[in-house]
Amino acid sequence: MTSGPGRAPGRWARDGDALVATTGDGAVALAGDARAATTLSPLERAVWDALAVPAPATALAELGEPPAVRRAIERLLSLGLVREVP
Amino acid sequence: MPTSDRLELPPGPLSEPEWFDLVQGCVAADLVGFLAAAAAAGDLVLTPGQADELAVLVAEHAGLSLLVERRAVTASSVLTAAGIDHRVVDGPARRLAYGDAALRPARRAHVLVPPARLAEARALQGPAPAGSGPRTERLVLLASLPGLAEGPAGGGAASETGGAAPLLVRLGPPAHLELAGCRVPVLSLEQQLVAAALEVAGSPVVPLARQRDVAQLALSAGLDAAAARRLAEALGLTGALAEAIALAWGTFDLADKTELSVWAQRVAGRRPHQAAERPAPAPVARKGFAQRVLRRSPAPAGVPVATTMFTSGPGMAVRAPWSTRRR
Repeated sequence: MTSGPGRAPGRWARDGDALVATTGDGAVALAGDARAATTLSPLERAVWDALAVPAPATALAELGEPPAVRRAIERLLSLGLVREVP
Repeated sequence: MPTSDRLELPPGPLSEPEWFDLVQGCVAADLVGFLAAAAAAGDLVLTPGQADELAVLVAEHAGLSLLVERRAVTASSVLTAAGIDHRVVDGPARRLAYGDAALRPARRAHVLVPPARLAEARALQGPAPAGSGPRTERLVLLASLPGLAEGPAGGGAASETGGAAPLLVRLGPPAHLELAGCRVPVLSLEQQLVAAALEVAGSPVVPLARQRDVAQLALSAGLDAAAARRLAEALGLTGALAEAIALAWGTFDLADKTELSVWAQRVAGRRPHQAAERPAPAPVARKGFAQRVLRRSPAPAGVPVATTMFTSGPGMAVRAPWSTRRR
């Protein structure tokens, strides 16, 4: 995550090139430049759903404990499924 | 109708032989997504091992489906850039009916283009990536709808004005999906319903998944039933549409009466359950295919369907109640 201490928290947004299909409790996602799909946990899926509108991580607090939400965002970021926006 | 007459939910997990047969059958019949939905809803009790196996299967099928969608989106972008009118017939287009749920993974996508530009459109797709097999296995460019005979309604030659092919014109305007940052023209719900009905009516043995497509499309909240009927009439496919809807209603024993189902029953000239008395799908799993395995799956958005399930036996003989509520 590029946001850090001393910086104003950025907002997170879905990467527009990703494709996602929801499964029973999670989702399967294919990032824009990925050659293979990957599975998302229920929390990661919830974060993805919530980021239909760009939002800061603090706005996702209701989805889970802050550390867990942060890890979910980090994983989505590493997969190329979300990006930080001003 | 009492739910107890229809639901024969197994009280516990299936035995391993039953589970094996069920999974094999669902894989062969493209029903893995529905099976997973049933499990997620708690309607099918699984052992932890079965749940793990199903999760892997769903991820595989959904992942492959996303790759198919990606190819369709890429192809659409290329065709748009080349100024070639086109419609995605199925694959990602089914999101109009199923939403983004991985219920109905696509193994391939068909894209309709004007006959006069079919060769150009195919050339634009380029050669298949090395080691990936023929690209046409996953993305198929067509000049006519699958099952539609060549001729004025089936695509035919380019129009006299040199514009879009007659079929694209007669289908009417497309719907658009925002996918992967692209605006993809797809067949509208009404157009998809007619196209799906055409495939069902033209096949002596209709896979369950295709019948489900017809039901899902016909029960979609956004469907304009009158427009679907008008389109079928314009294409000379009234009988096909009526037969496919009657078949789906009969197969799934749908209690929901809709304008289309009533019309289909009248046009088909028989009760829906009679329409369902077609040859059952060929056996897709080894002998002993799990019997009386039931599943529920999410109903089409906005439709008050209470229960969706199927009962499968040897050869996947199907009697599949879907709804226990009448509208």
